[in-house]
This record gives sequence, C-alpha cells and structure tokens, in this order.
Amino acid sequence: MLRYLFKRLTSLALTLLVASVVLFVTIEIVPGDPASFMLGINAQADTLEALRAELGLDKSKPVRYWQWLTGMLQGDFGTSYTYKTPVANMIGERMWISLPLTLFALLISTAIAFPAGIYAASRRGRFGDAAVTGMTQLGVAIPNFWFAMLLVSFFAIKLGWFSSGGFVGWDQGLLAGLKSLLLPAIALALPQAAILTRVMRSSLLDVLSEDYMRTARAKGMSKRSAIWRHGLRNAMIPVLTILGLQFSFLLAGAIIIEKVFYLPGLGLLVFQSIAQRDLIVVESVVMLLVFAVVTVTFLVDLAYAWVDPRLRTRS
Amino acid sequence: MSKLANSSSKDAAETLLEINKLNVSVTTSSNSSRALPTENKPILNSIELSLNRGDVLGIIGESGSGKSMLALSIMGLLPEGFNTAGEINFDQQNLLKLSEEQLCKLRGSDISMVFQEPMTALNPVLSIGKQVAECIKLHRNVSNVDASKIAEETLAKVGLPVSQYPLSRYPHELSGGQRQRVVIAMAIALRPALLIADEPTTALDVTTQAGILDLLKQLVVDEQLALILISHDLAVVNGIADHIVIMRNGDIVERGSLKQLFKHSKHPYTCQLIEASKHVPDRVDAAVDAAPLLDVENLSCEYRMPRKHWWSKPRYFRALKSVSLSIKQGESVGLVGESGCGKSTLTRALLGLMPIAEGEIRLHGELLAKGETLSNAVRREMQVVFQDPYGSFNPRHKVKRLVAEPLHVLEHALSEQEQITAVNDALVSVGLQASDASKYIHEFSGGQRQRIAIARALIIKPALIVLDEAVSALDVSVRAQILDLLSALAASHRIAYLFISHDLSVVRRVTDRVLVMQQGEIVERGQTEAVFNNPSHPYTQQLLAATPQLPDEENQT
Repeated sequence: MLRYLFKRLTSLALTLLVASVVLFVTIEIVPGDPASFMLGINAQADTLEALRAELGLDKSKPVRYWQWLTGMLQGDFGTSYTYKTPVANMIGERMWISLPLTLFALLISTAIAFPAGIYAASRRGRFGDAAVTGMTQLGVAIPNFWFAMLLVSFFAIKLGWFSSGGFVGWDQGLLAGLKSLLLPAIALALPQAAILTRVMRSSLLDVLSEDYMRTARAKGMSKRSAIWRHGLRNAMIPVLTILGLQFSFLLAGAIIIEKVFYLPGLGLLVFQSIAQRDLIVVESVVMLLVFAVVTVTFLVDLAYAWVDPRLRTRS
Repeated sequence: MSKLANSSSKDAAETLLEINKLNVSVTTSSNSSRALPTENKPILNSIELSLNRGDVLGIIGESGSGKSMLALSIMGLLPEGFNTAGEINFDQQNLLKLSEEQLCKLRGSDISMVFQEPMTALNPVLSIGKQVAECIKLHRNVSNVDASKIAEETLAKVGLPVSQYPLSRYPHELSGGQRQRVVIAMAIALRPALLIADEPTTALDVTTQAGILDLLKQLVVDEQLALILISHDLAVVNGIADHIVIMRNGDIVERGSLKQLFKHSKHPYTCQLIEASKHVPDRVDAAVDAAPLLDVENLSCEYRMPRKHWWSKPRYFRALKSVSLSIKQGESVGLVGESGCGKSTLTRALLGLMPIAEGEIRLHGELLAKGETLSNAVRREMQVVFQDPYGSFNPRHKVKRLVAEPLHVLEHALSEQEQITAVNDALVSVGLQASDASKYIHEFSGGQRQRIAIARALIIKPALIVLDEAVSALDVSVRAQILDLLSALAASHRIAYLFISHDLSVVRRVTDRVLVMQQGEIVERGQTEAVFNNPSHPYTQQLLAATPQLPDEENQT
C-alpha cells in the first residue's frame, strides 16, 4: 500500500512539472505582449521597455520560467498586470466561492444520483427504471444556464426565497453563504446528476449479473441487502472516475453559471484575464487547476485502492 | 412412483426432500410489445424426486436439460418470469409456498448451494473471513468475534487452516480450488441439512477436482449432509452418488444407481449418454514411417513481468522451458497438463503469435525465422481451433466470411466463385450444409459452431491443426460427434493434430502419442497407451489417479 502511495505521489509530481512547462511554453507562444496591451498602441518605445522591465518580461525565458516555478512553490504567484494586486490574493478570493460551489454541486449531484441509480438498477426494465432513465435524458439535454434562469425566475423573482445573484460573503455566516450558493449549485448539479445516475445504474447492472451476487442470495441475503453489501462497493470504480472528472470540470467550468448568478468565481477570473492579456493570472489559475485535477485524480486513485483490494497489490 | 422413493427407507422422518410433480416454465413474450400473447415455455416437466438425510444424489444431464433450473427451484432463486407448480417439500414444508422472507432464512442455513465458477463466485472486494462470517451473522445472533471464530473453524474443515490462509486473505490471492473451498465453507458453515453442488468441479483441474470431490465426500459423512451433485460428467458422480437421475429436456428419463445404469440401462438416452462418455472414434493409425511435419527443439518462451522499480531491470517469467516435440504427417499428438503449465503458450508460439526466446521450430524440415511474423506459406500449413465456440467468432460476419477468412494466406487469390465453392466444400466436409454459409453465427449451437471453427481451419487444407481444448466446452454427445469428425478428417485429408487438453480420458481415446507438461516442461512422453497404462513420471501418475473414471473403466485398471 505504501508503495502504491509512493508511486502515485511521484507520478503526481512529475505530471505537475510537465504541465508547468507545457503551460509556460503555450503562454509564450500566444500572441499579445502584456506591456503593449496595457499601454495601448500609441505607447512610447522607452515607456514600453520600462514597463517590460518592471514586469520582468525582459529576462530570458528559462529565467522567467524558473522564477515563476520557484515563486509558486513559495506561494508567490506574482502580481497581476492589470490590477497590480498579488495573484495569490485574487485566486484566494475566487477560490472561496468556486471550491464550495463545486463541492456543494457534487454533493447535490451524488445525493440525487446514488439513490436514483440504485433504484433504477434494482427495477431494471420496469416502470421505475424507465422513468429514471427518461429523467436523466432530460437532465443531460437541458442546457444548465437555461435551467439556472428558470430557477432564478421562479425561486428568486416569483417566490422571493433567494436573491437572484451575487454572493453575500462567508462573513455573513455559513448558512447565509450556502443559501446564496444553493441555486447555482442546483443548476450545476442537474446535468452532472443525470450523468452520474446513468453511470451508477449501468455499473450496478453489470455487478448485479455477477456470480457473487447469486452467491450472496444463496447465503440467505435478501435482494436489497445483497445490493447494499455486495453490489455497491463493486459498482463504485466507474462512479468514482466520473466523480473525479466532474470535480475538475466544475471547478473552473462553471463560468456560464457564474455569469448568470453574478458570482465572482475562478471561471470568470480566467475569462477576464485572457481578455485583458493578464497572462500571469492566466498562468497561475490554469496551473492551480492542473494541480486540482491531478490531486483529485490522486485521491480517486487512492479511493480505487480502498474500494478494490486487487489494486493494492497490483502495482 | 419413483423407484428411488420405493427403494429408500419408508420412514417419513428420514426423508429430507421430496419433490412432487414439479413443473417450471418461463413466460416469454414473443415480442417486446405487451400486446402480443405471451408464450409459456416448459423448463421442467413433472419432476419427482426424493432424498433422505445423509444421502447423495447425482443429477446428470447435458446443457439445456434443466438440471441447474431444478437446483435453483429448490433454492427459490429462479430468475424473474419463471412459474412453478407442484410441491418441493423440504423438512415437511412446501418451499414453493414460503414467502421470500422465510426462504431467506432457509437459504444458507438449512439449504446451501455451491456453484460452478469459483473464480467469480466470491465478492472480490471482501476478505474471505468476512464473507464466511457474513453467512453466520445473517442467520445467527452472534457477535463478530464469535462469527469469525466459526468462520475460522469452518475454513479449517475445508482444508484452509488459518495458519496458512488467514481470514484477511482476499479471493484474488487464492487459486481456483482454494476459492471453491471458501465457497463450500460458506455453504456448510451453519451445518445445513442439504447441500446442492452445481458442477462444482467443472472449471477446475483434475487434481484440484479430485481434492474438492474428496472434501464433499468427507463432509457428507462428517456433517450428515444430504448432497445433490449436479454434473454433465458421469465419471464425476461415480463413487460419490448413491443414486443418480438422468435428465433431458426438463424430464427425468431414468434413475437408479450408477452401476445399475451402466449394466442394464433401459432408456435409449442413458445408453447414448454412456456410450458418448466413453466414445472411441474409429481412427487410422499414423504411418510409422510418415515424414516429419513439425519439429520443435528446445523451445523457450518468456513473459515480461512488471518491474520492481522503474530503474530495475525487467524480469521475465519462463513459461516454456526447452520444450522439444515432433509431429509426423497425419499423426495425432496429445498434450496434457493443468492450467498454467504452458499449454497455451506453446500453441501461441507454434502459430507465431508470440516471440520465441530460444530454440527452433521447423516445418517440413525448414527452419522458421524467429522473431518475425510467419510467412503465408507457413501459415497455410498450420491452423488452430480454440476452446470457446461462442467467443471465437465475430458475431457481425456471416459464416461465409468467417470460414473464408484464412483464404487470404493463399498465394493466388481465389475468384469469388472459387471462394464460394471452397466455403461450401469446407462446410459440407464438417457435416453442415452449403446453405449455412449465409447465416450468422448466433443461429448455431455450440457443437455446430465448433464444426464451423473446424471448417475455417480446414478451408486451406493445412497439414497441422492445433486443437486447443477444442472439445472441452462441449456436451458429451456433441463431443463424441466432433471427435468422430476429427478422426474422419484425419483419415481423408491426412491432417496431423496437436490435441491440447486437460481431459486425459479424451486424449487417451484420440491420440497416437502423448506429451505430459508440467510447469513449462515436458515431463513424460510416449505412445498414448503405454503412457496411460504405465506412467513413469510421478506427475503423470498423479494426474491419472485424479482423473474420475466410469464404473467399467475402474475394472480395467
């Protein structure tokens, strides 16, 4: 097990390193000099040079890569070209919205998908199964921004239960914060829940036809407890994979929902920074997302090993 | 009235299981739409059985005979859509009348079952201790500690003492035979009155099979179990079952003791089954002076193992160690050994499907270049028939295309008309019809599929066909037909066979010479009869001793 952990951690570190190089090179290739962008097209050549020096753009590429990398390791992400504030602070602020929003959405999505998937699988081919499967099709098909606007017009505007957008801030208390994230989280969760339900259902159906499920029944277990005690854990691997992917996707992929609800999240930050050629912010956020994805993959790998003992010994 | 019920003790208290007029049918709607009338297809017809405490009943039948359905009916585990009528009286209560909840209490506690496939019968993510203890916890109000203790004792009873096989082991850390022992431990942990074993050894090697059968025999005596042993193989139930019933198409066609049935069976199907089980095809002996066809010298093959660290040297597992063999034209050579001995590696190496580490392969005296894909000229000479007639065809192609596939190795491409003729000839020569060429593979039974596989091998008239467990998955009567077909083809086409099998009794009946393989090495070789009558290597002796025998074979040896 320790060995498995060590191997996974090594590959995690290597992935991050490779990603940082690819990212740095890509940003260098992208056209657009931040300094000339900031000063406009009519800028004087010597002002431009001064700004470039100030931003550190005049140094050689390897040096800049090295400074960027070592800076990040110490928690220094540099200073935004546009806002002149430390990038770390900007990301930190946004993270306090994006991360809880993502987790909240995943929580809602699993809370819907697990029971629905299990229910559909255990009633295969009957009405309940058809109903759940039909709902998931709807869930995948409905655009989530449209669903978000529906939520706003009903719960916020008509009933007035929630505010129609913005974030109150965590200093208003946990409940108030969660309340203002509830509608966006539901909007984000809906398509994810639909996908996850389908994965749960098909994975469990595969497991239900396994021989050991029959063995469990021959031991004297009822159908229901056989599913809970022997079926679920074996059906978890594909579900965990999808959950991991969904986490990474939601963390920065919530941009449209952030826009609908006026939430200053990571997605919007990336979008704005690209528009303003604030490359240092783009670099840092993308690197952070890579880190998040790789870490989640690592956690999912650990979860695999926890679920399935065969994976512990294989590697 | 059944002979079995009459001949046994009339004391009602002794009778544990009595099945009266059991009818099972399955409702199938001929179309998925609900409007169409549903069909009722009979599965079991008026089954009458009775079994006393401590008795062993063998149920013999080929696939589709309903023997497994009978077992599942007793367990109350028939799939949805099955209808039952009649009575299954167990301990004086009719199981068919019990609620699901009452059945759950009986299952695993009073009636248990062991299934065919030990590799998949255990939950891979739970330790064996947990799985055995779970049975106990389900039915008895005991603490976890006590349940583990009982699990430990039961596992020791089935030959897995805790000192060598701790409860924390997972199924994937055990071999097939050991896993089957765990399944048996789960079944007997609560000392059930009735144990149903459905083909418990079919998936196992002969020596492992002998061990499991011995264990079952022992348990019947020690635990006073009544045992129902279901098998397709008459030899397996020989020596265990007090009585056997022969089933066919959902009917019991005959019943009695095995010896009785062998001596004077009344029903033609029983006679046919017994004949098929010991069927010896008419064979033409290979000419002694025939030219050598295939020569293998000191062949070694390796598999690469995962590295310990990424900087360490790769390790290799030697699956074949200096194997030498030769096959003459028209000769039939057997290769026997247990799973993992390297039989399949040898097949793959001969067919050029895996690289050779050392050694030489010569065909017609010509050295095959190693490490290269075989030339078409070589591939024309060698063809293969695999074990699984269900998995070895692309279901989306018609038989015509499947059978014609090897034709591309011919030097000159055939015209379409010639191809059709070749396919038709091949199909006819394996006993099928030319019109079958335009069908899809799912329209054929297992035996017919294996004929198609042979037709595919035959179509380019090879000199050697490798039969890798080619008859192992077939029912005995179908197997007899295929063996006849193979020997007829050998006589008419002068084909040599390399007959690879774990089934010694079949190899004995169809080969001229035999090779015994153990852990990648050939440990014994010689004329088939000589080796079987007088095995010199201890491993061969062990294999032969473990092979189940029919009653009249026992007298021979």
